Amino acid sequence: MAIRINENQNTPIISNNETQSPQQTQQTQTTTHSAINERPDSGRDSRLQGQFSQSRTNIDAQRVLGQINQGLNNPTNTDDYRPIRNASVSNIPMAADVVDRRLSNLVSNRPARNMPATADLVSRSNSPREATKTISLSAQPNSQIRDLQSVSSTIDVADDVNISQVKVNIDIAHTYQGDLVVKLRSPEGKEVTLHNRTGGSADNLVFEANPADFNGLSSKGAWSVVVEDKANQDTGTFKSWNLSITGEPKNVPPPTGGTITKTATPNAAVKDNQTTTSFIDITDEGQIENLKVNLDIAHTYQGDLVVKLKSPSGKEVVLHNKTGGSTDNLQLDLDRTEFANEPVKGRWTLTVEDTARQDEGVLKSWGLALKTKGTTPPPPPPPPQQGREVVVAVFDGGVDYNHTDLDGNMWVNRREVAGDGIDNDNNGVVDDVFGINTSNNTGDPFKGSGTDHGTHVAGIIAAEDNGTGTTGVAAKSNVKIMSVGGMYDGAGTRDLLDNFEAGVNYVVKMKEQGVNVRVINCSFAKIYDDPASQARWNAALDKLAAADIMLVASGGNTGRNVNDLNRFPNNARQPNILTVAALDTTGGKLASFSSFGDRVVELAAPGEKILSTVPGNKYEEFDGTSMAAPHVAAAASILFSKYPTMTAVQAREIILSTVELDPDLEGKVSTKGKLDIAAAVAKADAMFGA
Amino acid sequence: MDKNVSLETLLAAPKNIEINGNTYSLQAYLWRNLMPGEDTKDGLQALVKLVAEGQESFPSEVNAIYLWVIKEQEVWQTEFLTEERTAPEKNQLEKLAVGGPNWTGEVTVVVEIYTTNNDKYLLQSPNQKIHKVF
Repeated sequence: MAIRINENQNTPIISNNETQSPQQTQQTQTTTHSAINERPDSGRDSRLQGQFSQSRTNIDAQRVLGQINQGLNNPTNTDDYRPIRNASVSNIPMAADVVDRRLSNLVSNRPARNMPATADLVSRSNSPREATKTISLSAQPNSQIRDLQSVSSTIDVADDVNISQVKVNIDIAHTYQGDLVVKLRSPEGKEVTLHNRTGGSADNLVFEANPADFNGLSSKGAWSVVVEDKANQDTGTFKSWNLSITGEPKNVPPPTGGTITKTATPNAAVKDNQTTTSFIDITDEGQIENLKVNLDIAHTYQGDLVVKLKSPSGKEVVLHNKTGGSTDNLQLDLDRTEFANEPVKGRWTLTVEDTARQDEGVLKSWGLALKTKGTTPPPPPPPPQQGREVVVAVFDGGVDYNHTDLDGNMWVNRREVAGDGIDNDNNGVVDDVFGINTSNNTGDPFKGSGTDHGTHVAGIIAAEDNGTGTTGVAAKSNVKIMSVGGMYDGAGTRDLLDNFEAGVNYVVKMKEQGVNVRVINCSFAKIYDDPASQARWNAALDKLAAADIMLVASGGNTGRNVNDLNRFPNNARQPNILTVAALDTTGGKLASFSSFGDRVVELAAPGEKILSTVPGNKYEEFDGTSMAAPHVAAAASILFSKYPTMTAVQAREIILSTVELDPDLEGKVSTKGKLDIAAAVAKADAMFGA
Repeated sequence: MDKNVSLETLLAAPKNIEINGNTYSLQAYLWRNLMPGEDTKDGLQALVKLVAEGQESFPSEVNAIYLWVIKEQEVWQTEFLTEERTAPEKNQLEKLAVGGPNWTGEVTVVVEIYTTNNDKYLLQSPNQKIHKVF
């Protein structure tokens, strides 16, 4: 039965605090939030043909899974190039579920997630036969609770049990219990309210709750407590909380392992006010039970030195911190328990920072002895990559070059000596081994904001075909990732355009030095209405075009027509630019969030529920046109790898002329179609093949 | 805009209604745009589709202006943008709203639809996830 509204009858519950953009024909108001103005979209009316969730049949799912299996098991099958068939593209839910299960099986020995800094392991008690297990973890956020704001704290649970009981203890100092709402959220997103503004004016909130709502769910992942203060006047502190989970373990512990030892003898200079870096790469699998590290530094003043060790997952521990005063040399042999349960595989990084003037030295040698809990069989060797090496520069937050699914497909600057503090290749950047950080012109791209985003984009293009995790669209071609990071950093002093220009200068210079940079991926967008900035954008883009480098850009996530906006680099008109919209999980409709515009967006590619790499040897599904663009960048890199003489303009024309036409995309993208890599390769074969 | 409608009334709205012999339902997709560099901020956006079930085209007598998005006791009340949009199916009416709060989690979406006779009805779509989009 329909409800008629009698607008005068009800007590209003919504206050008027609206803020409205004058350009917008929309009014908005919230009870606790101000509206956010948005730039007007002056684009003309256009069809949006994305569709909401559609049910799919088992037949469809089986068909797609079959194609995924075929693609994974038959590297010579040209159908591998079709994006829907790539293992990284989980764009059909039922099939994706199966892929996820495959992934779970493949990566069941993936490292445990890092514990957040605030979480301390309190105790673990296992029954003798592992029938049930209780995991108890605590965090001391000591976060201020301000009026009308919320604070949260997260505990990362590494163990995976089928939950039979959850107990949570909360300790909040506050001067008015009735202001507070406290919620517990599971890794899967299930949220339970533990306290909801009861208690009136009573002070503090210390309680235990035993919500049964999580029973049957998985324990592994990030658990959060959110504390919201719903009223004015009284404030407090979220002091601590404890999470206790009981359940049946899902995974059998790995067998007992051995000890892996490895040493490095960099004999690298330790110079005043500089940092010396050295790496040890471990290829064995397993989790650390105990780590020993030794090092030998010749130096004339121990008190100058800070020495740190970083694990492949990014955990960093200080081994020496300016102690020892004027004592000569530094020789350490340490047991470090902080790395327990970390994965051994990957790149271990030792940094020696000389923090003062006058005294210098040499990092002579260092070594690791990693006692593992267990080792797993090595993954099968990847199939040989085909074609000439093509470098795809990911302009973004930095890429985690230590990720086990990326480290083999990172571009490595062979003319640069890692960690020697010298610009060996004379390109203006010191120690740029994997790329550049554009915000500070250093050789460490994996710093700053957006590293999740950049690492995810890189994985879509080139995650290794190594039996672990996911597989990039271009993994079977000889494609390497150059990280052009720091794109979103430097606020106040640098803008996206400044960083973009720095990135362009870098890749063009590297290409002049012989690095085969053919494609850059730009999964970002910004509006520049002032002519001076537009001129700078176009100058940088012209420079890329002159260097025969293709630029693939994401179309944006506004859900609106962007034809008439001055968005860069997406809407620029250089002949080497491709702009990409996102398809939904059906693979046939524009995603609801995707921007569109048949004068500035050329084609569509998968952009929902895209599984790929994120820092710390992890994997996540992301949505967005940021995920659609790298599918096209990967397609272009496949063409360039197979046919090195192909120009960027030719590759663009081949990709656009071979799209799979879709009536749902008419009026949305200029080609009215979606990426079809197999068709593009076939056309390239016809044009450039022998 | 000042639509004084109580939370109880909003949450009591049906999931489908019948108007002049046609049944209408509601579909919604909510997201926050977190693409780096994007100028559109990261506030909540809502794309809503009114569906005239079993019809070949969407009746011209029905339209929608007001949207409420409800997260527990909080409500984002707004009007849809007036830009014309073409829905993917002919029996759908598509509307977009932007500039909402920075919420996450699940929400309930309620739309006020009206007819050319100025009759007004509420329609809801509960348990809608807010997507983070990059």
